[in-house]
Amino acid sequence: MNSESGTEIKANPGATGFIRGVHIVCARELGAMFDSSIAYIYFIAFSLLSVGIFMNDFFIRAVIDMSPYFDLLPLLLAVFIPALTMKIWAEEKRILTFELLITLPLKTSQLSLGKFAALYFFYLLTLCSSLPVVAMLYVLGSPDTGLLISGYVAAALIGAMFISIGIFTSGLTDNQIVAFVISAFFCFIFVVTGSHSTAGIIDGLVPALQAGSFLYDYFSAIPHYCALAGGVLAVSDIFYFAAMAVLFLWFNVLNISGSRV
Amino acid sequence: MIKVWQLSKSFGKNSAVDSIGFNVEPGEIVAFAGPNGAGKSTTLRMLSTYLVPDSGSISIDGFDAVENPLAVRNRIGYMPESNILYEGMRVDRFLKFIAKAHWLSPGQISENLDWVVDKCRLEDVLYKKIYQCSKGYHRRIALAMALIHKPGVLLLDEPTHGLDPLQVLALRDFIKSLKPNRAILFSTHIIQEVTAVCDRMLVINAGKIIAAGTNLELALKAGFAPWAECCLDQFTPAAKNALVELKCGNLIESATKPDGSIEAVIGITQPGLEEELEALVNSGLFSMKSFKTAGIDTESVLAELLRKSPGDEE
Repeated sequence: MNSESGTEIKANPGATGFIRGVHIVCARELGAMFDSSIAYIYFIAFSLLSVGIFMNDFFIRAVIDMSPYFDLLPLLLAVFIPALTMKIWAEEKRILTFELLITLPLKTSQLSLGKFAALYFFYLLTLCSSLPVVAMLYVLGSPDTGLLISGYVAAALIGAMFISIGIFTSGLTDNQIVAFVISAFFCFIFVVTGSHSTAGIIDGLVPALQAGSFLYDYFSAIPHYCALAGGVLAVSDIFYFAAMAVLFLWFNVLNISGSRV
Repeated sequence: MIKVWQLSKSFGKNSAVDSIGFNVEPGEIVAFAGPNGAGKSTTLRMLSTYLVPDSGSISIDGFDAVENPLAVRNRIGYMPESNILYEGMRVDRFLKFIAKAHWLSPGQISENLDWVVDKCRLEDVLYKKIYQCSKGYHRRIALAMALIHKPGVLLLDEPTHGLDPLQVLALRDFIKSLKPNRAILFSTHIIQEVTAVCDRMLVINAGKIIAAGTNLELALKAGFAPWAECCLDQFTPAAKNALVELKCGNLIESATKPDGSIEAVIGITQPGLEEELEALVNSGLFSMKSFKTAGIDTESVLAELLRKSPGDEE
């Protein structure tokens, strides 16, 4: 019991307590996002750009599917997600609220997961801005529902991975621009290495190593993304994205815990 | 409540805190005084678990700050020197966030929020965003943040920094009102604060505690000659003899007042004079109407202690 007040000191009890801690951080982050105009500007910019580019392609191709939307998405996300995540830790460090956050009775993993949950929720909300396009496709014809669902699953998974990368890189610095550049660089590498032409160029540099092919097969996100967006919901592809998201979040937890020097 | 033992912290080759140790008991307000850069904030940051000590140990309410930082964080209220507040949040939402992070139930949050809003006088800004509040309110919000879970240990880093004189006086009174059952450690380089609020003082310089004790103890340690002025009744020759033979002081002069009482001035040579006089009162030698110490200029005492400290000689 606390003195004088009789306020009972509660621990951070078990799984329920862990989730409650994550929820507390998540709710604060979401509140902060929607309190500022940045979230709305981001939402409108992403929606207009992604849907706008797709609609242009849609009128040219005149095919009832959303493949061009999902094909374009990784490249767009490699820019938009770092813009979303760049301030998540860097801003806390710059305005010194990092000290406040670290001295709250919450685990570093709760802080990281709470921030991830808020950003992911907002990302999924942004992704929903394309749902009117889905409605339009159903009005105009009969799109492949399975393909649509798998496309959204792929988009949700690659988003989770890029957000984790963004959170990790934001924790490395107190400068948002630096965080954005590093994060965008990482995301681009994961996207660009998934192109056959890039793999060919890298292979050509040192043919004996076959580094381009190696990166394409074992490193890049794009082969996994394309397989999922193409309608094949393989466990290995889902595992790739989940593992990458967990890996970078774990790196973030290690980095933030290490900040208490 | 707060136990610090052999605590050290370096940043690169610079030793910020060098093997310090102290205790703060419940019901005690202890000032951490010293010049800028002496190691006050670094020590408080280690106590708050923000920094990890290089060596030594910190125990708060029986919990080790390194081994069990979450338990320690739940038991302390920490008000850092800089305003580390989420400026974009509304004051009430910010305080509720801090309360939730300390695992308070909805009922406790509501009750404690009302309490800190009242005590820190935040009614006028409760529904404003923090960036819309003045600097004085920023400090009060930071104090409310430290108090929202009613912790048993308060760590306040320069709590009156940036406040106007009236706010400073109000805050000092408020801190004193928090004293029962709480261990309060606050850092300051404003000497009036030390004399106005604290029971004891830890003087730190160049990362080392160079002196610790009450104002009187520190004045004696610094080589000052404080005295006590007391008003005594029933002053008999036996009583005068007892005053001459005091262990903790020397009778300097005594004068008879028109009402027959005696005004005695006693030079203090060691702490414990008041207790010694009270013992004489209890033995029936005389009765004591008043007692007050004088000749302690805390500012000069602190300056003298710092001048004598090894860090200053370097």
